[in-house]
Amino acid sequence: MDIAAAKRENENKVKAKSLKNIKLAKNTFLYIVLTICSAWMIFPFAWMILSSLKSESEIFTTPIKWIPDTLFWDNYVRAWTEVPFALYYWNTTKLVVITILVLLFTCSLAGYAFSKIKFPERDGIFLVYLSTMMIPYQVIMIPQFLIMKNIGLIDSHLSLILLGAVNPFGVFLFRQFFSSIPDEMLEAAKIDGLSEFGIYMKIVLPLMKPAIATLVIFSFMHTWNDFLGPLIYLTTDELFTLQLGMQRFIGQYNTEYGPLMAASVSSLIPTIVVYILAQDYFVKGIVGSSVKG
Amino acid sequence: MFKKKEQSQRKPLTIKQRNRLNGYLFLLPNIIGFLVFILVPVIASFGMGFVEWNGFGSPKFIGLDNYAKLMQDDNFKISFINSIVFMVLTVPLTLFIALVVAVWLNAGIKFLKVFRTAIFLPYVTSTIAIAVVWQLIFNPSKGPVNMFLHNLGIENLPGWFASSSWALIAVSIVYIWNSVGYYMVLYLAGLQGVPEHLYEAAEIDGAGIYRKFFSITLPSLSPIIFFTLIIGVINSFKIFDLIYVLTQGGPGRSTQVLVYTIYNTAFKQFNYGYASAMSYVLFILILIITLIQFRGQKKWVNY
Amino acid sequence: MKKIMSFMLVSILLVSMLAACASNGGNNSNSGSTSGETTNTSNSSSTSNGSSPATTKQVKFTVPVLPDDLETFNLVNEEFKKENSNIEVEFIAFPATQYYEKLRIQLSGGVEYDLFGGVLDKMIDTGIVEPLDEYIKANNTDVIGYGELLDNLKVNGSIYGLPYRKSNWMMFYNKDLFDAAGIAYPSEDITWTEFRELAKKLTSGSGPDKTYGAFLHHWAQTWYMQAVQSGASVIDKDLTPFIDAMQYRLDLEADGSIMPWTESKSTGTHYNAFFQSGKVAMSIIGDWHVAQLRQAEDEGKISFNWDVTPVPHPDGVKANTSLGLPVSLMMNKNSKHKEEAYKVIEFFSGPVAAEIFASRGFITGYSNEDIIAAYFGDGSRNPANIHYFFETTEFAEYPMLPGVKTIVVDGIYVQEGELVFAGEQTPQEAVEKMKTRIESEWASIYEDQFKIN
Repeated sequence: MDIAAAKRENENKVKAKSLKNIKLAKNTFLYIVLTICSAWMIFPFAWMILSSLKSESEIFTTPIKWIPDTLFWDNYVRAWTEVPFALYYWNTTKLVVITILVLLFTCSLAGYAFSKIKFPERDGIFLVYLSTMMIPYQVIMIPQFLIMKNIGLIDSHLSLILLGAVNPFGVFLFRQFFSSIPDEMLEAAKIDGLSEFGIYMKIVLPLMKPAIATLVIFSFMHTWNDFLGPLIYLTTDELFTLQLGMQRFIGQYNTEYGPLMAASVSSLIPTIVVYILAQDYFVKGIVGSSVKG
Repeated sequence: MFKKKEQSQRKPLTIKQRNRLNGYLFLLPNIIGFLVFILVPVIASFGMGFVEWNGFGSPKFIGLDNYAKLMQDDNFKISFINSIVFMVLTVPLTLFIALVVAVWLNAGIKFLKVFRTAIFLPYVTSTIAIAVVWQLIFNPSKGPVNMFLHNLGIENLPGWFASSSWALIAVSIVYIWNSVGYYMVLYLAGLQGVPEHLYEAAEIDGAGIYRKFFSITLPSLSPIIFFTLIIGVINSFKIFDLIYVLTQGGPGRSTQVLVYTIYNTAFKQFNYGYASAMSYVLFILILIITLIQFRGQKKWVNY
Repeated sequence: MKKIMSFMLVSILLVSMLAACASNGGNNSNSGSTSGETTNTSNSSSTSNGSSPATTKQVKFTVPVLPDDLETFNLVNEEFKKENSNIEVEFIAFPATQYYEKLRIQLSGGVEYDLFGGVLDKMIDTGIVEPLDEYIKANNTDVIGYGELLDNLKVNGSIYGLPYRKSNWMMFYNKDLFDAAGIAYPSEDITWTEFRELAKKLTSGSGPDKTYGAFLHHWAQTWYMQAVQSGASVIDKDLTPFIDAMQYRLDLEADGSIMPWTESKSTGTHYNAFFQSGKVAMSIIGDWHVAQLRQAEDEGKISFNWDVTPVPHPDGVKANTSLGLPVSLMMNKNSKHKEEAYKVIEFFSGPVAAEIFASRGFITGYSNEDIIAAYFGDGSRNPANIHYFFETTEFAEYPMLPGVKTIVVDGIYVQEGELVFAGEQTPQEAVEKMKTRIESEWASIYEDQFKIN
């Protein structure tokens, strides 16, 4: 008996070990693939950073030179001093934060309405929202500008905030996320006597953290990198945003890639920070727990 | 003496009325801005499709002339076809890769944040930097891709950006690379909403990875996948920056897509009426595709 | 019910807040936006003749100009202020590559610029550019100084702008490379045939160390130039001269003496960086390159000696025949202060301003001996033969009519040329397509309305 049991034990150990090996191999494979993918993703980003530290003649050499001979910090000095970069940073930050707040407020409410409140015209209106996303921005730019001009908002940040906050994308996003919340939850809450607004505030919104985080990331990036909007609407230099400031280095005949890349890298940092911070809302468990009972 | 009007005349709202009231109240903050800054310009630009206007003076009404001209216009036809080909090349692949990566990254692995950030980086990298590096990668004579293919013994190496047969494919590859991070973020967010206990129950039942994926993950994720399909199609038709920096529509007109043509027509040639007409043809195209998807959603999207 | 009421209140508050901000913003933006008039010393008489300040009213202009020119305009402004205390001018610049989009969108949206700078063909179709013939007569403006260029700027018989600067194309060459090869510098009378031979001789090496005899940037002008030098125009009905022009470039590429189009485009090779790297013996490009090279010298990036000489010309064409492009100041016909606006245009494109522009390395529209001398400077800087720039016989790069640059040159010529240089079609096929395309994409729209001269 002992021998048979011992034999079985051995077999089990071997099986377990080989399972472990397979798992190890799988994991290693996964890591290798992911690492290659990530490296590949990073290439242009790396080029950007390295070029921001190169002198102009080193940037476009044949054959390509990845590492600069010396770290040419002058590019950063120029990027920050030749245009009022700090002011542009502040302008852009202010613009983005306000836009996101307004956006979150209006889009979450609207998304909820489109998803959970059943009124007859709902789907029709939603389809209209959706349709407007299919028109290229370039084409509605002119009428938008004319409307803005008539309201008297040209050359102000408010014009950009308003334009940024009415993006149907946010409404669509929230609608889809709200839809993944089962109706039964809401029914239960209604029976408990909560008003529609109460349901929205107390039950639904807390579940929306991933959606909110997602929208924050996207709208942050979109507004932060928006070039066409500020280009058309802002004339006074004090109001300019980072993207406009960077154009200083793109001339009619010549582009100064060094300072341009330095400016790009400098303006990238908040986006990455926001992304990393928002990642915390993509952690499992926050959502899962509140679905029970 | 006060008649207590309220008590005698106040009727409780019907459910339908109350829902309507709530619905519009919730919509109110957003829809005001939407009407003024989006819907009105959209309708105005629809009207512009029937005029001839360069931004100055009064628009000249020309009825359907713009649309008639479109039917004869080679530039338009070429752009139209390019856009459709581009959409077909990019959307399914992008979404598929993004989904796979999201599911992988959602499992607990080490260095999770590092990988997630890395995959998102292309989306925030400056378009100029992207263009420069990819031109290097796809350089027909010295780039790594062709050198690799050459080592495999392939004779007729693709010209990538320098060839009118390959340029659109090259741009598609760059676009997919660029966008995977974007959709991955969306899927990751959606994956948070999949109830944990479903997985646990399935595991107890002895379900393997694939079973779990197809029976639990996909259905729970379906509203988000639907979202990305719609957005993905719309975004693929809107591509502009990448083309502007990579190929400027060339070589020849092989990478000239609709929005690029519309932009040129509106802002380089100042022919707003014609550009609007083009936009509305694009709009109809996207609308049709989206409606088809909407019809289809009943079959596979779980709400 | 209570909750709904409070919700409604919040929404109404929010909306009215936004609306209030809007009207405030409106007030702000009015003062911040463009040329309003500030009537300081108010006078009842609104006509301003001549330059007697006592009877003229105070006027303020905001003038958009191209960013490369902004600094110089501000310098000239110092001089202008001294003589014209009643006219206050503020120059602003928009990003170079979106300059005309922004200018036109703002103008069509009702922003009031009384005058603006730019190339004529991008603005003439708006219908808001005021013809200047009457003002020129009334003010006795000397137009002889502008030379034949002014005729190039006439559309349908009228003058629509006064050019404050223009560009010329020249051949820049690396003297050290010539010396090393023991070859004489290119003659000022060099023909395209001779150029090809010269380029071959100056090409050496291979791979990353290759030195090219010549560099032609991937703009259509670099190859269609020789057709235009013989008098052809890009919108001619018969485009035969352009077949040879394309073939010529193909020949140069086959010789190996210039970087192939596809390679220079896909590696983003830029004439400025490439010439500075010392790997090119001859580079054909516009006069703005002088400022770029001088700056490189200041920064110690160039280690060789260089000079300029006229571009090659076709057989039978005069030496130093080149392409040029004027940039002008134009008046808005909706301006409420046209007399003053003309004064500004006249001054900033006239001899006083031109001298300042020339001293900063711009080729000016107006020229006289002093201006030319200012351009030459004290001779201490390269290029030694800078005088060539002011001696060229110019053909306009392209007819300055609406749509020609964007549709014909940057569109049709670039696209079809690209396919030729990628080896996908022959020059003959390209020219056939170009003819049809020009007809359907440009001529059918513009030909009737706009004629040169």
